[in-house]
Amino acid sequence: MFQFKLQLSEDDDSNGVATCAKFSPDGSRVAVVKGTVVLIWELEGDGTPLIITTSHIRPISDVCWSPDGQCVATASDDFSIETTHLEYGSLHRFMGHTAPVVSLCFNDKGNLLFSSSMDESIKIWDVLNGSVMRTVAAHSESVVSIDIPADDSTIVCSGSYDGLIRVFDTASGHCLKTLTYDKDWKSENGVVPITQVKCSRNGRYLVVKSLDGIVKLWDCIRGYVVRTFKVESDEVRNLQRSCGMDLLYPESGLPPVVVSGYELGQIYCWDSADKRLVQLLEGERHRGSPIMSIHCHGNLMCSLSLDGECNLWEWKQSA
Amino acid sequence: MTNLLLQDPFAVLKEYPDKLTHILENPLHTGCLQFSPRGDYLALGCANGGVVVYDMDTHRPILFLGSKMGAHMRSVQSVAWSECGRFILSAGRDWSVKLWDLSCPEQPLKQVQLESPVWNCQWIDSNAGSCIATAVEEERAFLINFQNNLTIIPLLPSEELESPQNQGYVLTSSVHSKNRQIVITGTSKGWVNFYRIDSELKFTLIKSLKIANSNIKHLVVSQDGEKLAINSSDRIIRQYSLKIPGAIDTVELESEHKYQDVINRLQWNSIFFSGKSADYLVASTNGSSAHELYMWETSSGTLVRVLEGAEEELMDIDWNFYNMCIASNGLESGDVYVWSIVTVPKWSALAPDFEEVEENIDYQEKEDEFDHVDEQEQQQEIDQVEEVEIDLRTRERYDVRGNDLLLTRFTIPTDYERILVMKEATGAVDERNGES
Repeated sequence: MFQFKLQLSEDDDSNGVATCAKFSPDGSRVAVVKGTVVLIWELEGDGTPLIITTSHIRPISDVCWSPDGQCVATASDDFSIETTHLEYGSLHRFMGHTAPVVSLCFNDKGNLLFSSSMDESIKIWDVLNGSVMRTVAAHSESVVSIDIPADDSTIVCSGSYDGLIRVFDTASGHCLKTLTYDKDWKSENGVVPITQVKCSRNGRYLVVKSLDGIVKLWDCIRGYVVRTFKVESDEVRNLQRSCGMDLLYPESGLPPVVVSGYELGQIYCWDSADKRLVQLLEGERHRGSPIMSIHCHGNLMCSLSLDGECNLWEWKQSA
Repeated sequence: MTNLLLQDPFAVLKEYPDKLTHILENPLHTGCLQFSPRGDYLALGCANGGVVVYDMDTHRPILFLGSKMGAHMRSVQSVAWSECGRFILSAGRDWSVKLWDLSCPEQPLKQVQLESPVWNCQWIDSNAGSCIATAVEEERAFLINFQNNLTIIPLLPSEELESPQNQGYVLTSSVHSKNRQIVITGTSKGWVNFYRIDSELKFTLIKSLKIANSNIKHLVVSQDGEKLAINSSDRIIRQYSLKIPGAIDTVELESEHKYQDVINRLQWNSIFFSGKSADYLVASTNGSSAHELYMWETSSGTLVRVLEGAEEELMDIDWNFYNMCIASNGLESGDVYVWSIVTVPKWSALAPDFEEVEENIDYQEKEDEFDHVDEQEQQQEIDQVEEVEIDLRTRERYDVRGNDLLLTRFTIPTDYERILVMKEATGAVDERNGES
């Protein structure tokens, strides 16, 4: 069960909308995006964040730590990406997308940066030189989420508003596999847009959240759904945004937990092995504000809501 | 390596690379090369004494060893990665052997000076910091221990085993790939010596034999340790099966094949075995007339493939089994040619219901194809699938090609200072252009 641990709050609201919060690779810091700035909180610190100002002129929608924890990359609505070193400042500005950039991830070596955009493409960037290496025409709608498995950088997975989930080869940029929901998922209004994808650590499975609030776990080698996690109430389920989703791998070695946020600040947690709802965090802590991002590291989970409230939770195994 | 599971299995399981895919330009002129153990990086030893590391993802240079101080003063003859991928050994014509730590590559961690230019250096035990080096006009190879007190021990012929005193100069050396205790040296008069190296670098000569009348240029042991190939300047590559009895007091050699170019009578510049049980042997040819790598099947001894695409004589060869790439450097340009396996994109991957077929298939309706499926039954089926156990954590131990995935991987730290320096430099240029 999650127990509330810490609130990372900042009194000054002038920075803008909170969109994304991510743990650093060593778990000691959290980067929180507000408008065009990134706040870096030390978990053991004195409660004042390091403020990183970027050269973005429109709000940032995603932030990503480099694997060595020294840099953050930010994706913005101004069509650009920037890498910023926490000490040295801005390193590169990556220009090339023709629409807002929405999702980012590094490979495990930290030499390649992957970005997805509303221009329907995925771009692969050379981090050292700041140049684009490859553009992949990935989908026929905004590519809203990409992810690379923690232990296997040979594939990158993407989810799009066109309702497709694709797996690409990172070296060649070729599409290796496409996953779609079955016929019964085709509603009258067309396909269900995908809002977030998250690879399992070993790269064999893929957790996918769609705009109807349902989370599915795919076997991405064989290409079918192996688990479905469904919120019972239709009211909760209907989403306007992604509302965040991640996998928590309890350090005790027990089955991973699927953590998913919803519009009124609720967070649902399911056991990935038996699909049991293990915990429902009602939206009080987030004052009913929509969850924007969920990120897990070790036994910690960080939830961020639209009003800028960022909460840390610790997973404790219930007896 | 999930990508390999999703690619065309026929392409993935090809046993050797067949297409020239990249040319790495190296203005410093490559003299020797080696891939990092996991195939992430390629180290090039250069004619000006530099050692440059290329990133195999971006195919660009990312690191210059000794950028602050301590680089070789003359051309680098040999580079070798440690098993963990963190250390590089380099040997040069400036008579020195240097040990580099890639987490602080600005200057060498340690170095030793021999008494003449160094031909070749190889790790014996990279965890213990021991290596073997051969130098110009030396009648013995040298064991070097980089740990604690730097020690250099010449490999003397032993008295127990009778061996003629005049074997000529030691030209090359090799370490057995499976049994790292066994070190093999080759001399200018065609002698091959096998040594057993015990702890604290005590050594015993366990076998000595003459296999040719001219220089032994290369000794290569296959990955499984059961084959030995010897490249000699008499234009013949000799392949032996290699057996080591348990006590390691001798080795058994049995000649299997001899490879030579009977028409052009070319010498071979370098040789390399393929992975696992060494089904193939690849060699580069000496002389400006041939620009290819030759590949033979080791069981039958027949030429199976010629790797084309380079437009000059090729020198050193390295073959990495993780990324399935063969790299070889050109003599004239000093650039590096990389052959790899090319996978063709599958259009059927873009839609889950499609299947690629070789030829037209007449459609025949299956018996149950349009049967009405009971909703309850369908739900049951789905429920069943959802009860299968899944494992989100555990990594594969081996990739589909049989390479060990638990082998440690060292990531070279990103050089942020270099990014800033480069940025400043380009910024200054831009400014100047703006003014004019």
